[in-house]
Amino acid sequence: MTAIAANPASRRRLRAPVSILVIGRVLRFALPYWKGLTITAIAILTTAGFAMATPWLLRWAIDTAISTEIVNGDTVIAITGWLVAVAGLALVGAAVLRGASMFVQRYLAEWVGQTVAYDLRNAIYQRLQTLSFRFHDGAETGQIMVRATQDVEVVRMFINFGGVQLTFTLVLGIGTLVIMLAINWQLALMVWALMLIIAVRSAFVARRLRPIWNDVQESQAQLGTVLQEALSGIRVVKAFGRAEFEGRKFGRAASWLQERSYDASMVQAVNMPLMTMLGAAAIVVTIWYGGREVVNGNFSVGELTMFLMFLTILQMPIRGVGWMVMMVPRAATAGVRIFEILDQESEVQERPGSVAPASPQGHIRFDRVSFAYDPRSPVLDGIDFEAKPGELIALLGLTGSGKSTVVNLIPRFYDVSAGSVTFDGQDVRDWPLEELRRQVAIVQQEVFLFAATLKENIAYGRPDATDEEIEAAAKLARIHNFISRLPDQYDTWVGERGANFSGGQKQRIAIARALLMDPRALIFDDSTSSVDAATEFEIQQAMAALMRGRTTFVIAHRLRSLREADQILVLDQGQIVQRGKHDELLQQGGLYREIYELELRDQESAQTSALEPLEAVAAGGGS
Amino acid sequence: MGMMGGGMAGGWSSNLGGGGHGPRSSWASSASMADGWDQEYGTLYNPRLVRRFGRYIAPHKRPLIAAIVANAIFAVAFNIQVLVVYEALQGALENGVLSQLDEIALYFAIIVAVSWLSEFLRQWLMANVGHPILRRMRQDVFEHLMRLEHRFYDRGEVGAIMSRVTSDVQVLQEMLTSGVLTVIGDIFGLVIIMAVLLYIDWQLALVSFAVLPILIVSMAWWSKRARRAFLETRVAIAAVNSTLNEDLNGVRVVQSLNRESENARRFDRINNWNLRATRRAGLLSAAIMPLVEILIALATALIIVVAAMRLTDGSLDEAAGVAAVIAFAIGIQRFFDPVRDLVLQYTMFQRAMAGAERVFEVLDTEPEIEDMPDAHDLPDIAGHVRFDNVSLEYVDGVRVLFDLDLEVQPGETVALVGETGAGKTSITSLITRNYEVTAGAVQIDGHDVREVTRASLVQRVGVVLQDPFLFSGSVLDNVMYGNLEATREQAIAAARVVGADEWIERLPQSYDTLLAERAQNLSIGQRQLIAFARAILSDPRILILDEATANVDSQTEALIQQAIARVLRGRTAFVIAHRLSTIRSVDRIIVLEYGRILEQGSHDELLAIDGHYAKLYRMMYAAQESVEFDEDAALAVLDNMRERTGANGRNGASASASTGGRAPALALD
Repeated sequence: MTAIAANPASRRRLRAPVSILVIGRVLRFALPYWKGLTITAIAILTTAGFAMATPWLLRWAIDTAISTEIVNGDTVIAITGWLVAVAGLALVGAAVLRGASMFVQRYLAEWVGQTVAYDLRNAIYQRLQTLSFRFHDGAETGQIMVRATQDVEVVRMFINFGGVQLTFTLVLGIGTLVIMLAINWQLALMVWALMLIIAVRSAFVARRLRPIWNDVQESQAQLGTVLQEALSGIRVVKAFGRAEFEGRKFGRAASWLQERSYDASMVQAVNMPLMTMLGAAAIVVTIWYGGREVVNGNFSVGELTMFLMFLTILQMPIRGVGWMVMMVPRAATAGVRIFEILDQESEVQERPGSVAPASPQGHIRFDRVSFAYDPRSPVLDGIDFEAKPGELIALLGLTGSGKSTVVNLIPRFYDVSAGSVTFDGQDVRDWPLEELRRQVAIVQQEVFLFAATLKENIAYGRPDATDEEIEAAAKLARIHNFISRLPDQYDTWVGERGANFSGGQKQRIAIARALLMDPRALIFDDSTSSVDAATEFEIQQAMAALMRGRTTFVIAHRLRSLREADQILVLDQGQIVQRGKHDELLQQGGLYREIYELELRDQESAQTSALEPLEAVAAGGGS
Repeated sequence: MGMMGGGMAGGWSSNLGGGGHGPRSSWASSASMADGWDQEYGTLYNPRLVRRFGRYIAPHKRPLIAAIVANAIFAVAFNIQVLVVYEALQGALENGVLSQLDEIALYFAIIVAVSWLSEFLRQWLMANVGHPILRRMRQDVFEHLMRLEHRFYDRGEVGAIMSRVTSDVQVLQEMLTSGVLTVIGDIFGLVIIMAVLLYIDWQLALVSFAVLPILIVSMAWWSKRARRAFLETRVAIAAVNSTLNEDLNGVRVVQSLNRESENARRFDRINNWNLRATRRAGLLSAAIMPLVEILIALATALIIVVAAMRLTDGSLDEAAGVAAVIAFAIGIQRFFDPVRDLVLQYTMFQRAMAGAERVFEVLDTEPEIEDMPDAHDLPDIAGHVRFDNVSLEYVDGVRVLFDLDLEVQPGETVALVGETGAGKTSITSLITRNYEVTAGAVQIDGHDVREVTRASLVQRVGVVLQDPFLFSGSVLDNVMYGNLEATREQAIAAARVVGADEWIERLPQSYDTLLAERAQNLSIGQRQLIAFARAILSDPRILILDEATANVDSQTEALIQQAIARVLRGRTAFVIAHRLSTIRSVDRIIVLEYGRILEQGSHDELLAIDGHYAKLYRMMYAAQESVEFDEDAALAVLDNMRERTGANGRNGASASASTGGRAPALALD
């Protein structure tokens, strides 16, 4: 499993065979829409056909309806009226048909492109949602987002422009070239030499502009970062009086953006007029040479007109050729980056035909469990313990000792590297995933709230919960009172990641969320004691409600939890170094005693000094 | 002319050919959606805005005028080609003289060269004018934002402000770098091609102009619908991206709560909305070119018919007639193109005007707190802080501090205690003059904070906030943020003082390790320690710790406590902390309630009084509040739920789609 990170190598150019393979795979996403593609192909042909018909008809009208005769030395022009009318109508008819088929072509190109983008987004989303924690630990959100947005967009544009439009241009180009060659090959070659220069030049320019545009994008991102940071951290900026400093930082990024945008503009400023001039040069050549031929009688006025009109309709498509061609390697690169996500396989896979035991109890056993991201440095090593239904297990240890990893193995967010984790006697790998995770709820340290209402956040794991149930859970989590004081109560919108709620409030919302899941096992991962006294108390209460009758794992340096724990596991560098009850461990000394001295004693002394009478009350009234 | 889809503002006006496919910033497109549908477009012409704009343009007057002249020359050169074609054909048809053809070709070549030169000049000049103006404007907005004080940021959301600097300026950029000149060029071009066509044959010219109303009406209809359709695609793709982003960030919760299938359904719904919106927009964008082409064909047909009629009745000279028809066949395209363009630019101008309005709105917000004209630098201070009868209102009439009197001696450590809203942070904010007092005065060593420069004030006062905001850059950069003049050694010394030295040394590149976005590669405790080092690097006499240890785990807190003890020595300090254990040893504890001082004294004194503080302190470990709801009833509800869904009930399988309320941000029609 490779990590999705900012990797410059993934931006580099691919070798041609790889490109072809990737493009083939990209196109396979368009294959289900073969009907649309077929109609598009037909539309391409008819559009090109009717596009060429107009100049053809004009030629016909001029050459047939208007006949020039030399009578008595004077040029006499005779007009056949009905022929003119027919020509006029045919012209309009051809234009209408061309317009209609062009509409079909453009719309379907867009349709297929957007539909493929839609499919890709859904595929990426689903893949991301089901990949295990191991993948997400190593992935950068920003990088994944770039792939799911920009790279998908590149693929979409490739189908639309690199595919459909490029084909159209080729058909139109070849069609007009053949006609022109047939009528006057000398002039056709002269004109097409210029056209080819335009096409090649446009490819050259597109290639030159690409790195500049990448830079522009990069500098815009940088500008955005400076801006975002300065605004989000405005209090820090102000506290240190760094407004000017930030202004300079912004200025540097803005200068770079300006420079590169300027470079891009300059390339265009040189190129665009040149292209226009080359196009006009083709017209000059046609008039000069074609005019001679007309006078010589080798070329009719109508044909000259047709040539001129061909040149006009070819202008834009030919100028875009370079850009369209460049879509191909871009799409290949984007494709590789997208498939890198889609090809990720989660190591956590549900075993086919797995069945959950009838009535789950919450009996959890770790049997010589090891876990490692990288075999050379194991995170967990030989973890052995048993948690009976309803027991309270406390995990203790310094940061990085593996506490969180132990509990993450229970709902199978990771798979063990060796040994086994059993839930009710059945290996968690033999459980249906959804069933297993229904039985295990986690209250994470950093509570993540979604941009939705409070109600939806509480019912996140159980979208079918009734209002009454949601409220009951909130009450038990000691958050109902707070919510009912809000203007919109349960319909209050939770802003960006719950920024408008305090840590304690978020934690209690998470507890309500877990309560609604009604799990058999509960994991409370909270080494923060980030909250004020009143909140701390309320969280304790909420926890008590949550723990009732469930197997509970607590990662929290709270004396209260440790004292009540049926078993305390002291972890150090991925191993259980001590286990037992609070009093036993305290007597043993060792790491437990160290941590106790450092952090917990304080709580003890506070309790004994000021609160002895209350302690009794609490013990009596808390049940 | 491709439809550029979501997030690509103004995409439908860009050509497939030449340019127009510059990258659009991804951060510009997603943030601005909150601005809604209606504010997107302003009135076409707003004299006040144009005047404001004028100030930015003024320094570039000359190149700008030159660009306009070049534009006019180009318009003439480009459209005169039609006349040359006409003359050439007419001459050739009438007397078949070869020498004239050469002459004509030469003219043509000259004209082509002139148009090349003028177009190059025009683009070159605009590149030189447009980009500096935009940079100036961005810089001005940014610097202005940095000058605005807390009160402004309390109101607005970062996302909304961001979009002013990014997408609004972006829209202006489109207008400035291509829009304005395109419009001027189009108008020139239109006038000249009309003149040329009228000159060639005024009757045929009028016939072809007759199609114009149909074009304008249908374009106006189209652009109105397209505007809406494309706006919807932008809103839709923003919703898709933000859902993706959110669920990606919350993926661990999603998996632990078994929400994968429900979320996939929801995502598909939003994704599908985007698909439908883009298809609708695609329908419109695919329609416009065919429409114009059909109208051009119609005009061409009209010209042929009318020309034929006039040739038949002899009112038109044969050679001139044929030449005119051919010239018109070329000229009609050059007549329609600018008209079509102008209609499209109309929409862009409206958007640009709305954007400009929002940009200038930011620039027009005056900072409320600025240095007084005669403000002096705060000299070296001992750290004596005095609140003299201070009142504070954030909103008129709503007081948060009431006649507060407080004196803190140099070197004293004071803890502020109280519930949320008691006024703790308000007090510390006044020391650095983040807000202006409503009444009374705050003095540092006898200097009223309003009479000293803010720069010198913040230099003497160090602040550590609850959220240790770090900037992208290296660890060292972040420590140095506290004092840009400090040497590397001083910065490392500061890190050592707070006890961060040891683990920083262990980072891959030690002090030069780059921090990931929002320093995610560090624990919150580590981030906080860097913030500490940053705060003391400038060696402030007064230190404010606002919930500085709130978010860290208890091990780190122990570490930080040791750091604090070292750091506070010899400095006046204000400590705000929820965790009472962290403040037990301070010199004085001030208990606040609703903006008033309730009691103050040392830990032991306050416990002895057995007042508010003692109550708070007890609550930390004790359970004394009664449960104010029927717990059994609540539990019964959840038990019933278990029965409702079956003891082992499969979650979500038969779940109703939504729990109502504001379902996934789709409420937008």
